[in-house]
Amino acid sequence: MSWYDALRGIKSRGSQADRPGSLGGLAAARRVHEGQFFTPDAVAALMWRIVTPAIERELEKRGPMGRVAVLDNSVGSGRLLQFADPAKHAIFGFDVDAGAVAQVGEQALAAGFECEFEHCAMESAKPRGFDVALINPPFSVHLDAPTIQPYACTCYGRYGPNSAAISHAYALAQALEAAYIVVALLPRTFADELLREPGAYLDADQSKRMRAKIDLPAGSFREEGTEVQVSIVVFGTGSYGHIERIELDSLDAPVSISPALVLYGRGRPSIGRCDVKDTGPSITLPVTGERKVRVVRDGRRVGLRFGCGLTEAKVMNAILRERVPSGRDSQHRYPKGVRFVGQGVFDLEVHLAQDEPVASFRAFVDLIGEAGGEAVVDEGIFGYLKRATRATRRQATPLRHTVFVQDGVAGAANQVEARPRRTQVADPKVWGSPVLEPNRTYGFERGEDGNYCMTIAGREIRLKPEDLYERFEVVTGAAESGWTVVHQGLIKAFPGVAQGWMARARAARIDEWLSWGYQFDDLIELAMKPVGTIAAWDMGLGKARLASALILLHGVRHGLIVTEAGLIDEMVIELKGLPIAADQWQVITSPHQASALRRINLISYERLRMPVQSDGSKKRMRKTYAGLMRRRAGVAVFDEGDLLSNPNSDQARACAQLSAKKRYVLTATPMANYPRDLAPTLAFAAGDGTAAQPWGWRRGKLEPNWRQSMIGAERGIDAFRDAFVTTQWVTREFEDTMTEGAKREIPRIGNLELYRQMVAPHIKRRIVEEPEVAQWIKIPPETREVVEVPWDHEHLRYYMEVVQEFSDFYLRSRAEPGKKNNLIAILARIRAVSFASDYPQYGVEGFGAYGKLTSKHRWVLGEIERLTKAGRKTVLYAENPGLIELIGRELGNRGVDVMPFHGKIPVRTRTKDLNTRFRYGPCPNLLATTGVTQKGLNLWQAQEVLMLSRSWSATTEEQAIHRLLRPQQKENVRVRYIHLPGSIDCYKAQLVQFKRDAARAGLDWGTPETEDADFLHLDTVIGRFVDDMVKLHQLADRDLRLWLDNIPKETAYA
Amino acid sequence: MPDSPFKVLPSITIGQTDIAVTRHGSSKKTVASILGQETDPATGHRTIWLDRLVHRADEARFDSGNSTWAVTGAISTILGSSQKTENKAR
Repeated sequence: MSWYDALRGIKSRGSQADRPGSLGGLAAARRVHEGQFFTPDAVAALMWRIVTPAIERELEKRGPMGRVAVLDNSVGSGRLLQFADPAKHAIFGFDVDAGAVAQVGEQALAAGFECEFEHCAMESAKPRGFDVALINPPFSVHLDAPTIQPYACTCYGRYGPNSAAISHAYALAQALEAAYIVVALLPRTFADELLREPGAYLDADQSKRMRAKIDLPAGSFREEGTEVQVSIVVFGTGSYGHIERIELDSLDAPVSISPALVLYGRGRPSIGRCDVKDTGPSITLPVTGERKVRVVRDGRRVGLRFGCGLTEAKVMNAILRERVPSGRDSQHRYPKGVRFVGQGVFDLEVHLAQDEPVASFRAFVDLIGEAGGEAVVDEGIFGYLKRATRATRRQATPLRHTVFVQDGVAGAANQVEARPRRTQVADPKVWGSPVLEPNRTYGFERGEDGNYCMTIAGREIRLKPEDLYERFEVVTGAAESGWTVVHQGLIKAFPGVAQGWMARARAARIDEWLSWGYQFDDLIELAMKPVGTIAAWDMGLGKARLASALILLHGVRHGLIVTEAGLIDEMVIELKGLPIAADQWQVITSPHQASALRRINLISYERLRMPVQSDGSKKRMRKTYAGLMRRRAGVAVFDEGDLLSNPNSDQARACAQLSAKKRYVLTATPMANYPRDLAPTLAFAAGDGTAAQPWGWRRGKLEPNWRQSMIGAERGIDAFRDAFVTTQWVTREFEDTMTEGAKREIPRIGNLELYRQMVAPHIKRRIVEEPEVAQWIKIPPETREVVEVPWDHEHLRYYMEVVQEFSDFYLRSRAEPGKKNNLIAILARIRAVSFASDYPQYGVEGFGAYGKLTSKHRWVLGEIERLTKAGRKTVLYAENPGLIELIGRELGNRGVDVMPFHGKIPVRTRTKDLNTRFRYGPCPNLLATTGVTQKGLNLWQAQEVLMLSRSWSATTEEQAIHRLLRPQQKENVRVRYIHLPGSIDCYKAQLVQFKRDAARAGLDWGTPETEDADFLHLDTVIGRFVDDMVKLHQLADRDLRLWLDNIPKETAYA
Repeated sequence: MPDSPFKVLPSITIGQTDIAVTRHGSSKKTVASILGQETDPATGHRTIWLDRLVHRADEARFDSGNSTWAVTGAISTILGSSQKTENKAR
């Protein structure tokens, strides 16, 4: 008679499930039975036999009262513990099967065991201090939980790095962490993999502990209704360097492991549930009867200070209510720090997001009273709230914005007919509101308030002009294309405040040098923003002057302008030209200057993150220039601030470390690459998850309903990604960070309307063409064209070989999605394809170099020679300095004067040459890399642009082209993109067009041109290219290579 | 949160200054100090505030032999007796 007999009747879920007929069926069945198959008695007996000698030896040492602690981390009905003896063993286990685990606990207690059995999943436990672990975990169940411990077998999951794992690998790693000896029953394939590549699942110390792998005979699990092949893997303590491999014919066969397994000492066994922190009392104050509760403010946080533990318990529990759902029961991922349902009231920004912030805060104070406290609110909190309410209103008000609308401006007409741009609900806020179809027109009447009114199904719908333009196309009345103001801006909304700032500006005589109308108006609007904002002026509109004006207008003691190292000289020229005393500004180049700040301080991003020199002491010093200037700048202006879109870069961290009171980001391209790049910059400049800028980056997406409950609160990154980012697939890492990890992304804004709404209060956009700017600056419009140059047949063969290799590799890599190095390998191969097209002379690994000039190169050489003779100044852009040098040499041989300009030439030398030889000298041709010609440079002396290489980024290309499109430009600049037909140029062109389109749609209200077009991914473009080749020459796929080898000149792809 | 149908309620013993919770299948006890308690004279409803969390997210009630206690609380456990339970106890 065994203590276990009463439990023998419990059947495993797996043994009762239908046998799956397919792989899909297997997954479905696994979801039902969660991998629960109990260990057959004969297998359990074998596992006990392996550990019994070590246990007996240890018991002798421990004496009659000693017990050996045995753990099973998926205990089920306790089959693996059935041979335990209350006089020798203490038994422990946990499982997700509440019914089974309750019965095991009951029987074990009745039998007199020292025991602990918990209803919890293995991912919610952190067991420690056991002697032996006997485990038969569920096989191949995907675990995803925030409480998963970081082991070698864990990977990126829903809850970030190391938050997902496969059940059997995780159970093994957990058991090894918990016990001296581990005997694990595992799938045969996994056991073999463990032997082959232990590092993939175990850390170095755990791997060394492996002692034996015992393959069990076929049919060992037949009584559970499965024919799975299994092995027992045995781990001991210490390192032996030899792993025994045993194949058993019978489960009764003797097994001996040499040298014998040994147990050492005794730990304190603990299951360690992760959802219960029994680390002591959470309330440590004595009970004094003091009911007073001080309400204090610390930044945006509200704190409560108690004098009595009981009052604290009553008040805090009444406010926080309960924990937010987490763990297995909740698939939702909360923002960092969100733990309780009622914690929203401790964030003043949540109160500020209410219609009546002060009333909301008062209700919170009243709650303290209702809970048994006596609230004493610190003086100043209500004053702060009132000021912050006004500031939030200003921060949330859209900045003045003028946009060009195609066939959609209603002009001054009082009655218009308009057609919806897409099928939509007339009033999205009203349930059952009529649907408007794009094939119908609707009549609108303009009211006295300037809004348009439509009556449909007896309901009156009122639209602001900007909403009308956005949602409808005006067809009669006054349908015309033109510029229209979609947001009137802060000067109109807060005229009193604006007057005050204007008076200050005039008193400081800023209006004398920031004199163009839009510049002065924008300065005032930007200054009216209480937190900061992004000034996204187009290139060449005077951002350098604006930076100085912002600091002077605020009247701060110390202001900071941060810019790129290559632009410091340009900024110095600008500052010298302004009526600012020389002792009022400086360029920071030493720690001493960073300590002795002046009114305007100029520093490069590179220096900002640089560690300052140690003072000679041995103390480890990692203070940077940013650290030296922390919290000392009243206003900081971040020129070319789109680099803040990577918040984890050293430069962005240094900018954050400055912790300036007000922050202005100046950039012509706030959407550095993809629409999502704006999110971190927005959070940096305008507030991270605040009432005025709710889209948090490190915080959550702030919603007014947080005042009532935090249930369902979203991480800012998740909310942003779901609303705006368009992807076909992403890795968990990308989902988590939105900056790292692999994804297949389409540069298109998901919810365009919401995106425009999001940026309206925080981006001051100005473009050259808009009327308020055009009256001061006239830049002749440029022309753009693509020149297709036929392939050279030898170059085509070379390119095809590289492309074919990419194609084969890509197909292989898609078949093995689990490989961690895939992304890096894919990027390396894409780079190879790009080199094979643009700069094959550099060579591609495995294919050697293609030594001759390509047809594209020859075309460019001929064109530059022709343009030089015609007296035109030309800028040629390529991506690689080597290619620039190659083209330079060839042109030199032809007697054409050129000036190379790339990152391998020292900054000083190349800047000096640029000024003396190209800008103000006789050299007619600049050969530049896009990398060093991106920002701040003025090249208005040239009129021709040749893009020899296409970039991956629309911003990079636009920045390069706009070097010529400066206010001083008098001619129409001609831009030509040189393509090889069907090559990677076409893919890059498409990518750039989508990115440019997304930026124009989001920032400038442009109608998306690519909205209906399919985005073709690189593998599709390459696949089509190969298909075209096959079709063009009527070949079978297999003949392609043969044809390439014998390709005749006249049939080259053109 | 409702109790799991499989689950046996944790049992609680309430002393003058401390409480102890025992869960089914475990020989370990969880203890906490009582910060204070109040009884509503109108309803007989009794509330006890503890100095730490002793209940888990999936637990709504504790058993104390002839009565059960509702368990709530975000940062520390609050035990609440129902009127019915108290009447029974009387």
